Amino acid sequence: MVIVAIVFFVFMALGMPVAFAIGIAGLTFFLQNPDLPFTIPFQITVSQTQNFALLAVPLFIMAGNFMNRSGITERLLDLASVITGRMKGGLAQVSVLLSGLMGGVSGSAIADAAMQSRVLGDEMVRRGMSPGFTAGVISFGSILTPIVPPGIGMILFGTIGQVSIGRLFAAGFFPAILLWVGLSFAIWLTAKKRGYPPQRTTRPTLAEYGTAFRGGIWALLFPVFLLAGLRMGIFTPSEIGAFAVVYALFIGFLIYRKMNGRGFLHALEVSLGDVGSVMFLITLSAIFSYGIVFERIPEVISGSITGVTSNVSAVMVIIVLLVIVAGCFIDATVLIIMMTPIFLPLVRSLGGDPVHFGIVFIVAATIGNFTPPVGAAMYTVCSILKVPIGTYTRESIPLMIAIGVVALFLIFVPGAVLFLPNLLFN
Amino acid sequence: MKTFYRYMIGAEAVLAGTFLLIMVAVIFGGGVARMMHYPLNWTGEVATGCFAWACFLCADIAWRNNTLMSLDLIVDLFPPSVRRAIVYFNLFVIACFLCYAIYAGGWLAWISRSRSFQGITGVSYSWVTASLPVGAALMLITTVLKIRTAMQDHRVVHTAEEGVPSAW
Repeated sequence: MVIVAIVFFVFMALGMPVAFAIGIAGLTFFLQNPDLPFTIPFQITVSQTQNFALLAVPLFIMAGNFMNRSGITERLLDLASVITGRMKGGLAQVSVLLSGLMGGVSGSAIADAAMQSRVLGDEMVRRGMSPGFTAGVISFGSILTPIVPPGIGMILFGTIGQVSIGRLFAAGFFPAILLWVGLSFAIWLTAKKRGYPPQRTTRPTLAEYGTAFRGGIWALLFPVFLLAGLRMGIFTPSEIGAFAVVYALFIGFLIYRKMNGRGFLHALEVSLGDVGSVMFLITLSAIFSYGIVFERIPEVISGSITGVTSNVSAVMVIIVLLVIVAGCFIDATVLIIMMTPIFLPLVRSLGGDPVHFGIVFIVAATIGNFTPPVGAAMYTVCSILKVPIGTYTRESIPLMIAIGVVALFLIFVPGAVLFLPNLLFN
Repeated sequence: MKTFYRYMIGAEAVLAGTFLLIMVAVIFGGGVARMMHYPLNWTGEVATGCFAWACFLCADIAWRNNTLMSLDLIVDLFPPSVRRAIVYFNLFVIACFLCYAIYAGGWLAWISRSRSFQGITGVSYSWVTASLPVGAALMLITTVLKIRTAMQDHRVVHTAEEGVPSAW
């Protein structure tokens, strides 16, 4: 497996698409073990697509793309602006809340960051915020999107680790609120120090609140529908994705009437490329994972971690640090696929709760999206807003600290994560 | 030849899009039918069958459009001549991998022809496994064309400008 890892990192460093790098590296394991049938690597690649739970991934990607064209974004922007516009740091506060609201209808942090850079980015800079801080807020704010249910990370983690997806969804709500409060506080402090003005000076009237909530109600209700549907057994986790697509089309065509045939086809076309790049990575990673399981790597890593400490919280801190460091180079999807089978059994054996660990793990894996040198959200935001990575990194430090503090709190206070799933599902 | 290729790209996109929409329709329909107490037992099989084909057709689309995620940071440190060599090396290795995928995947589809798909008699599992060698063959064509473009064009092939799609 050492050779496999070296091949993987060398190919990735050479700029080969990660999907190919992971598949080819995984194949070298089979070259070292000629006793294994040569068809196995591709048999397991195909069998990934026969996993009913993984179907949710392409469905959520489509739902996100349709949602973006349904007219829901504008409504949620109005809502976020009515709620937080009067706080110091105005539009930055709006941006973070918008990420959380978008999280309820889509599960993709990158899509959220890209959308916000286009919709809010220039306006934030025009209102006097430094470009680096603007990019940081949009990028780090999108951490809320995968944590507010539904999220593809939760589905992947739940599928691979055999953890209830309903419980994971429910567990995301409170940590998302904590992350929002943490980021909001960091923005408030920065805005106060630098004198960034609020977005609006007058208190919104009751009528404005009413209109904004009515506009956003379809988006706000979606996660509630999801949890209720899962709880009552109306649909299974893999059906949620299809439900989300139909819901997006329903509100796009019939409620907001912003979707038309052309918009539909465009969203579908965008989805083809997105589904291809994500699913190809997931299917080929099976070749890589085969060797990991075959050589009992999880046991080896678990052994070396438990050699240091066997306290669950301390082990989680170590795992989170490892995941954040790995996340600087590896995409969150790959991290979840590769590391869930390694770390979840370890946490379970030490008596940790899999749902609690799942949320902490997903938060940590998502942080990798924002950190240099390879953060997908960071890359997206900085390239759209034309901000150098160095400036972005420097100005994001308060936001990073806020997320770090919340992450530590979530690790040491499992009740903050678990009380809602326990309330709903026990 | 060019027209044929353009036609093929169009057909690939239409097929992939159709497979995705069928997945949505049958999974949603299956859920609704169960709610109405008329459970359908074939929706899962149709959906996973379409899923396999959608995955590998979309993978080719992503590969052609340069939206597969990659790490350019280290490569960008090298001078252009070295970068070009790396691009050729990567494409060559990928082409070898795809050839092997066509061979092993094709063999797999051939030997699994008597295995029925999800226990349905009359439908061979080969219909599912064939998606991999077919997808790999399409990607091999894309790879060869990329090599040709790289040879004609003296710029370095790069990934999409505004970031990369991710499931996150």
